[in-house]
Amino acid sequence: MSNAEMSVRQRSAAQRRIRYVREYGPLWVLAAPALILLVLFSYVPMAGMVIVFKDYNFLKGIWGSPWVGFKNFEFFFYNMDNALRATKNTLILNALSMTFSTLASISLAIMFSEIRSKKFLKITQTISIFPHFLSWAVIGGIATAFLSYDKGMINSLLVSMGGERANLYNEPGYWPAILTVFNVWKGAGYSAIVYYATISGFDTSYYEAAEVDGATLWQRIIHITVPMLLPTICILTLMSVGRIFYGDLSMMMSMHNLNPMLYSTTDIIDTFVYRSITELGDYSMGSAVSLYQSVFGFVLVLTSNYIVGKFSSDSKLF
Amino acid sequence: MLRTKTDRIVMVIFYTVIALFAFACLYPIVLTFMTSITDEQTLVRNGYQLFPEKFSLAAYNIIATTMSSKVFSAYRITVMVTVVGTCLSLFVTASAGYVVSVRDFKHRNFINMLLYIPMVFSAGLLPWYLVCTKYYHLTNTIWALILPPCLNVFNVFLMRNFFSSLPSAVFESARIDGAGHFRIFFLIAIPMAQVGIITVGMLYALSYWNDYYNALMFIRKSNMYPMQYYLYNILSNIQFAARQSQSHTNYNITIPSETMKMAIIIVTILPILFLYPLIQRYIVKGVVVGAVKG
Repeated sequence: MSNAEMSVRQRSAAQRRIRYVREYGPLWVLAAPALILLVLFSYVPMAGMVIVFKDYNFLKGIWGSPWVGFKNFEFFFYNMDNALRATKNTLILNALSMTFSTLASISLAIMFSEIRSKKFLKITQTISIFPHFLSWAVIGGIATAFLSYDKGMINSLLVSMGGERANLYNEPGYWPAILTVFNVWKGAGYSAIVYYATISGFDTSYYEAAEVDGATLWQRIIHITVPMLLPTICILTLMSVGRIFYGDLSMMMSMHNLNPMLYSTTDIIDTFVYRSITELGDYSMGSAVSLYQSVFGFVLVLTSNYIVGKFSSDSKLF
Repeated sequence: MLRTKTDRIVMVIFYTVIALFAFACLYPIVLTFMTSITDEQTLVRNGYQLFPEKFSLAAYNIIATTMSSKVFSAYRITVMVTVVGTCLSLFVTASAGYVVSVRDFKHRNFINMLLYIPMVFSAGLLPWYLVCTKYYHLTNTIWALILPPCLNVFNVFLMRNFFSSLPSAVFESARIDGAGHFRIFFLIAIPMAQVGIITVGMLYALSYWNDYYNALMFIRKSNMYPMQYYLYNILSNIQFAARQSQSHTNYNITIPSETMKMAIIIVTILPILFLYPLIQRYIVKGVVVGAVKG
């Protein structure tokens, strides 16, 4: 290869680089703020997960603290019960909320799609989406109007029917139901929109043909709407299954303010980690449980995403 | 349409169930409002009622007088965080969404991947908390309420879907006329994706307004509490008091009172109540576009 040829090649490489910068440089500049935020609040914390192998010392920080190997996982042996209970509660509460929210939102969407009065549809839809936009802090406050021991509506109702007052805020047995009800109340109307939008997009000729064949309203729903909605249902369900290891700390905080009497049914992984930091100051336990949540969560997201891909490659997350 | 009798019965059931669900969604909010204008003694005597015997504006009076400085300061923090945060988030999200919508950008997939990974794998609460407090020194700063929730990856993809749904011919002809990506983004893409910008802006504004998680994590000084966290504190004090008063020995400790609690809830959600009818259709649109993943 001659020198001249080399320099031509180098020049053209340089030119290409200049062209790339001129052409796509602005895109990198536009992407930069988002990438910086991602690195700061997602990727650096991921690197910070090494504290699970360290004896965390606030002054030395994450990277300066001494390595201790697997010592932080020892608590699994002496605090196994609590870790297991938190895992069990997370799974149960999420499964309950998922099941009932999905059922409620599908039923709502199907019913919405059959309503012929535009005005009725608009008003009821608008109202049922609203609770989604309330914070858990607000909902926790509203909930006391129903759950309070001496003034709450549920207890007033119980008393007026000749029953005994139920001590809802101190009785763990009621809480899976209470949390599920409030979750459905908050989210069902909102998630119904997705299903409703899907139903609105269905080919109307199926319905027309069914009508010609004399199908009843109920038959149309069971034999057309539900089967056609099934892929969407599967995908959304699988996506939420992927998040089954993640609980909602702010919901727990505001609904019962981490009442110790309710731990047996409401202490989830997230509250367990939070408590291990704030109450016990035990970073090792918090970090170990946190790691185990991330890993299981990750495996589940990947698995559910893989299964979603089997149903429809368009709906895969990645 | 509805030929048979059963069809009509099913339809009546549908209307009834939907009406009941909507009622169930509305009822707690109306109850909250009615309680906030109930006389405290009436409430203590009769419990929560939709139509109380005696009305009183005492709760709002207290908020407007003795509590005004705290409520006002919390409100100011929330408004500031919501306004600054929404603008910042919107810019970050729209620009990132635009970048991943440019089809011939060969590093688009790399950026996509960087965006996806945090959706799938998160470091969890503890490392995040330590990094934010120890290294970014976010404790007791306004940035603690703005920066950590600033980028929502779902919204980036929502924004991308809005950009992708625009006619590509417009962008191509702009490229041929020699417009760079800055110009296209600011002068063509943003104005054309107005509905998307408004939708994502609303979603961010609501999440900033409703956020108390970050305050719970980072804010220790009570004069920096945002509204939701201030509310949370008041409520948790009451719940704590309620737990203590099981024995009925100190039955009447109601400071701050029940009606006041409800009044503060109403004050907190007031902007949402007023703006909701206006923003509702954008949000529905956003959910629909977001559901149809590109």
